[in-house]
Amino acid sequence: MGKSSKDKRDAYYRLAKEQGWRARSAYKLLQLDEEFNLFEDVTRVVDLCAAPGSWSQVLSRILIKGEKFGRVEWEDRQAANRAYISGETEAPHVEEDVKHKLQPRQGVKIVSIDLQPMSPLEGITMLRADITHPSTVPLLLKALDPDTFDAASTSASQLVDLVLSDGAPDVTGLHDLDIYVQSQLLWAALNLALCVLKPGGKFVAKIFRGRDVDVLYAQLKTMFEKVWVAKPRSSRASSLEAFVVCIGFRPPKGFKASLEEPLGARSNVTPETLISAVETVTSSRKTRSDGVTELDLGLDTDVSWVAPFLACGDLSAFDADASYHLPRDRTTLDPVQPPTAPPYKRALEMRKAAGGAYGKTKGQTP
Amino acid sequence: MSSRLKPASLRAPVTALATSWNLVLAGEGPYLRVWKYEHHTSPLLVHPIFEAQAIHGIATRTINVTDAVLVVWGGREIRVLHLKHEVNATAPDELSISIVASATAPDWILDLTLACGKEHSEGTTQVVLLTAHNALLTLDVNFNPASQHQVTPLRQITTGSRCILYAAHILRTGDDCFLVASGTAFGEIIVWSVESISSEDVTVRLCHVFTGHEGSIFGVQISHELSLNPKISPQRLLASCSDDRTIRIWNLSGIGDKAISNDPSRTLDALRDRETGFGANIEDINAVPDDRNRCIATAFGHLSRIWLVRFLDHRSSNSQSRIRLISAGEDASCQLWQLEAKSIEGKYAAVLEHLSTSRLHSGKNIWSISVLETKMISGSRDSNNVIVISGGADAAVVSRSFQATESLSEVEEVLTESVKPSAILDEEWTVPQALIAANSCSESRQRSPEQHNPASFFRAYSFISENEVLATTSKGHILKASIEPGKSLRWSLLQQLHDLEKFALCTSSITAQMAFIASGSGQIYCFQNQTALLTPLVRVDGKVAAIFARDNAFDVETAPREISLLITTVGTTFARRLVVDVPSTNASPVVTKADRITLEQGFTVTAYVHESPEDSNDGRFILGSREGAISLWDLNLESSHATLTMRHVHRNESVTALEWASESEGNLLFSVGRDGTCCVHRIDFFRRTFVTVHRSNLPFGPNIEGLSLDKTTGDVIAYGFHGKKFTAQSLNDEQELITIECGGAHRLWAYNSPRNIDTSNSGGTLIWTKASKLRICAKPRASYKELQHGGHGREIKACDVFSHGSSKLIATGAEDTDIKLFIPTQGGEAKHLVGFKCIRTVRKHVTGIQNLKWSKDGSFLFSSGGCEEFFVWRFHNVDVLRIGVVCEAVCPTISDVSDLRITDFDILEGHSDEDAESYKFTIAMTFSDSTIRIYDYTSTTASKKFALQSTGTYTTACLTKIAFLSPTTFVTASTNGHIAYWTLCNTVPSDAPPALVYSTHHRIHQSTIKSLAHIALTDGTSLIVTTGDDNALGLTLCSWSATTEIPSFSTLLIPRAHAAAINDCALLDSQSGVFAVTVSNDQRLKMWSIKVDLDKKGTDRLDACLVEDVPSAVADASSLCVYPDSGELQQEGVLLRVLVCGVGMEEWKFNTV
Repeated sequence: MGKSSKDKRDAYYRLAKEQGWRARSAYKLLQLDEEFNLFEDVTRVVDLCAAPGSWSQVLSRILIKGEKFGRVEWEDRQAANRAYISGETEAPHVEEDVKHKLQPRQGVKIVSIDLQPMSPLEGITMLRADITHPSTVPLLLKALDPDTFDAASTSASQLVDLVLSDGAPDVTGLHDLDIYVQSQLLWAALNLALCVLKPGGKFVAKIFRGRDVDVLYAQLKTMFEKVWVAKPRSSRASSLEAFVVCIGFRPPKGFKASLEEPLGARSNVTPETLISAVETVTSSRKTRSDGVTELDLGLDTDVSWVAPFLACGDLSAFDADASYHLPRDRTTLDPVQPPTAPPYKRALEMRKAAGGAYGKTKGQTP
Repeated sequence: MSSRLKPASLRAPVTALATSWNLVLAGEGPYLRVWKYEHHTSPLLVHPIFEAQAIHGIATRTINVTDAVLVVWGGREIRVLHLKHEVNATAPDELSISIVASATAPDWILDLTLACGKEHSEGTTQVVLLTAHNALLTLDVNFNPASQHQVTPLRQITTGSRCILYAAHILRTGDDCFLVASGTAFGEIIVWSVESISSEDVTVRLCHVFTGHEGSIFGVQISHELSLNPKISPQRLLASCSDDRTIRIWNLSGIGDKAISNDPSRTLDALRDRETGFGANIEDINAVPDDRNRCIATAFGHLSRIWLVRFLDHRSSNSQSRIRLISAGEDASCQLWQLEAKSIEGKYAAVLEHLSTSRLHSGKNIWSISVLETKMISGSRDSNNVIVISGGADAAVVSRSFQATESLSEVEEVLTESVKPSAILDEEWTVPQALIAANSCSESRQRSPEQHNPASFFRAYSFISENEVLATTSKGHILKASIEPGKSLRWSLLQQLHDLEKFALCTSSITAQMAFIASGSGQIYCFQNQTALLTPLVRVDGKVAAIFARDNAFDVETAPREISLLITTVGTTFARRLVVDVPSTNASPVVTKADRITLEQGFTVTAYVHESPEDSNDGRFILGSREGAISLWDLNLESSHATLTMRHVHRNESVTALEWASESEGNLLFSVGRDGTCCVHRIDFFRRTFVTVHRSNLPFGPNIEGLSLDKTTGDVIAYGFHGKKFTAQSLNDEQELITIECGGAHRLWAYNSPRNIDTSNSGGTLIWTKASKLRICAKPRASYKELQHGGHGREIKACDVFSHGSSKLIATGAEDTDIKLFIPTQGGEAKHLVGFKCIRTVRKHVTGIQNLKWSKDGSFLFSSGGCEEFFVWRFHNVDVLRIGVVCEAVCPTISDVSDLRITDFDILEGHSDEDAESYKFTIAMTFSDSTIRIYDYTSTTASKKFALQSTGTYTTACLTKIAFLSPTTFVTASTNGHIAYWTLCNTVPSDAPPALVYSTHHRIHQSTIKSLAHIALTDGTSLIVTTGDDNALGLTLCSWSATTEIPSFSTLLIPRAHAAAINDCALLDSQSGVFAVTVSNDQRLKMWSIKVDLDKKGTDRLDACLVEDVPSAVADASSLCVYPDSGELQQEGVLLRVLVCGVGMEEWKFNTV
């Protein structure tokens, strides 16, 4: 599929190119922030599985450059609209010069980690490392505090406020395997997060909402005060993808995080100290302000718990599932960053040389 | 706790396969199915293994002639089973299965192997398994048929790695010794060995880390010791396949030798400290200098990712220098490879050559393969053949056989696209060669000087019997070629006529063994095979354009008594129809009847058939034209003109063949054309009606050139050209009979299809001209068997069930753009979970199906897709086809958005007029650009018409669902979580259709509403049930009255009804109350009881509770359907069936009481 037809199909793909994002996934983080105000009082962030770097780009523009996106921008926009409607000001300018409002934060430290190399981003430390490897912890701690790093210490002198992970495997199409591999990535990200996150810190990671996801939610709930599952509007409804937003890190007493003995669904090392954090509720009715009555049937068990769902992003935002009518004379932009070479690049070249997909497949042995 | 929901049928991806004795074992979802290979039509046994986990592997070990240990695994779960197989000479085989033990591994299991225990006692089976984090575990099963089975707990041998593996293989190399190959996500293959696994001091050694693959390793296999190179002693090889689309073969010789592995760094722990990631370990401590030479062969072949690679020839033999492998992947193909030793500059190397590709699965992904040796199969003639069985995402289980290594030279010739048996006959002849051959056979050894003229060529071919072909040449020869099994063609020269030099056309009747040859002078000759006499029959004026011969007036013995001929000449508008007597003695044939008919201007006859072949007095016949028209003729009407002409039956393309078949309601006409379709028409000469009751877009073409009816089976064989190939295929089950690489259409050819395709093994004989030479090829039928027929090759997006009494028809539409029609196989407990039978595949959509719906009477099916595709399908009962389906109308496209999806539609059925064949529907459609359109669709015998009644725009949110609440009101649902209420205009549309505006909308869900179902409670109150991406189930009462424009809504929301997006719901209103059935990505099927008390106020009127919660084997479930069960009711209540579709399909039985 060419970039032009993808433009028509996907509003966020088009928008990402127009607004200079490396990937459309930047909007997912911005919309998560709109709902959860993720960056409030946040200066120290670790971005895991960061390539091609669109989430790091969001962090760079919000925390380092001080641009307003996400929650802050949304609040500003709402305030401006309210002011306009009540006749206090003129119509808000969309094209206002952002530089006037730049508010860079102090003491910002962002470290991005991926196995793949990434193009550099101003002010962000990039590490090429394996997040499952114990040696990555000191590497990360050193990157966080290059001046005060003490190799003997196993914890950061200053912990981090927020750990992000947008990592996803190449899906195979074998559903339970894909869900398993994604849960392994989530556990890997969580284990590293447990090593560097300050108490009360936040953890946001991609999750596949498939079979047994309620077991995973219950396990996360033992480490954090609040756990939500959030779906940004820029993520398609047809996709299994969603994000767990865990707020208020509260390691159980005596818990010591380590990548030598990582926690995981596969390990039997879930500490005894971990008590089920899920309070089982009995059936209850509650009428919301909009008149809708919510009925909770209390279906949770001690091993499975369904995290509350929150849709993220303004309802007036683009709809990832909708088709949009584009002007005929519009130009199709090139992606900000060309896609990285796929592992089958050589196979494609060889097939092309042999006469295309329907050419002879025989005799291609080198 | 027993559930009222009971599983009835399942069709899911086949993710595991194994063989034991002559049994084929397959894992389909959580179910194990077992077939006896020789009696493959239905499984001997279907057994649930897990509650919900899909089976990912099966390992077998036979204990004695009747007992085997079976270990089935999936995810982290393990079940140990006892399989008992008793073969009876007279009665069917007895098969029983029982679960002996279960275990849970700490992690996902990648491979598992069985070996006999350390005591070498027959009864002890050692289970060795490897997890996705490279941890090796064992388990002992003490198998004792007489007493209790004993199972020890899992024992961990090695701790895991951090890096995740995608593939692994464990091979037992000796007593208590194993060799393990682990393929990582980062393109490395770690080979390590384990010794004394049963003892306390188990030794684990890292042998080698192979680098080179540029993508994740998806499949690895270690071979037994094979002698690839006769100069070197037998050695182990490692085969691997990867995301990088390559298959690589690695040399394992010397690996695992104690001398090398005494190095203390060579422990698995060394691996833990390796950096993971692509290319991270190029300068690795473990890399030995000869690493590059370790990869002895690399090959590309598959179009996408490769999941599996297996050695076919596992037995060690000194004679073999070539080793075959099979690979399977995402492109749903199985490929055969041959590894041949090659010495390059004295170095040890090999070449991996592609032998053949077998595409027997539809859609994407082969998930499992297994190899069965034919010596296991009773009555097998070729004891050395290897049978490869594959299981796909389409749920098909297909076997194909390959010749064993010894006769590999024969396999080499099979380089066609598909795995085919080698040809019985495959020859090439020039005219001089044929003449020399004919002369050497004949008694007079005369030689004509022109025989050596290389310019002579063949002019016409025609089969005159099952194994004889007539051919004419540019020198006027009439030659006969006889086909004898196992021999070369035998030629005889029959005659040489100068009249045939410049021009010859030939047609024949195989049953009468007569051929008719038209010459350049307009002379028609008749050749009788029995008497070998060539008789001039009649002379026509001008150049013959076409000549057709059809059998007429059958005897009891089915030999025709007459042949009717139709002859057209160039530049004239008339045709001659002759009836020729088939002489029973040595007499010459005579023309008994001659008619002259007047053709319309421009009607070039390309096909001819007469109505009832059994009746000699009938003057009714049909002609097909080069412009796609079909005309009916009745000479009894004393008219020389066509009774009725139907134009564009095959668009503007040639009608290439016509055939009659009889059915209970009269006669059916089959036609094929160069538009790539095969059609069936119901014709009434008396009423002058012509109704196309079926049209199939064949999977090959578009040059469909011929058709033959199999009188014994009632099946239809259509044949023609597809690219450079000739293909013949049966119409009903789309089984391929033959494929021959012939160079393409536009050449001289003749094909004789096999009689009785049920019993015959033949694929027919093709004779054709290629590069001025005669080629002839006869092949047996493609040698594959479908143990289980497949369904869709991609996920199903929509389903609807037509249910009338006991007849049920399931229509499904999938991402693979096909619509399929299934009948549920209902039966007793023995046939439990047998599945669904696909009776038709309908191809026309070019985008994934979004939704489909039946009309109430089942005469119509409506389907929608992307790119504004909306089709109306008309159904007819046609005996020979089971069902006939025609695309009756296509909704016009009006938008300029190229990728506009019709996400949903709803239908109101209007009052049908007096005319039973007249239908009217009001169709409301929702589009992905937030617009709606209302069409009136009328279908009468004379016209099929769409009329746009009104349009509307909601917001910019994609609309997902639409439903009529009453004939004038409807609701829509959208990605913003709202439902909107609309009223239809009563005004008659003027020039432009009126724009509808929704009167109100109401928020129920946080994000996309994925399904909407409703029932009317009173005249002005409906219960609307919605499900969302937000895991919630919404129950909304919608009340309206004639006086208020805006309805009132009150919603009771169950926010955490499922753990994931709820993709569909269905409502059923029974005497036992209202039930809602929901299905979600969390792979659970839930049933809710809904209580409505309209006497209360607001949301207090609604209450709900969960009544059933069962795991579903269908991943990505997109749609469900509830319909009455026609089975006998055991107790009170209503017996229902619930169909769940997604990646596969699943049917449940439900009793409301």
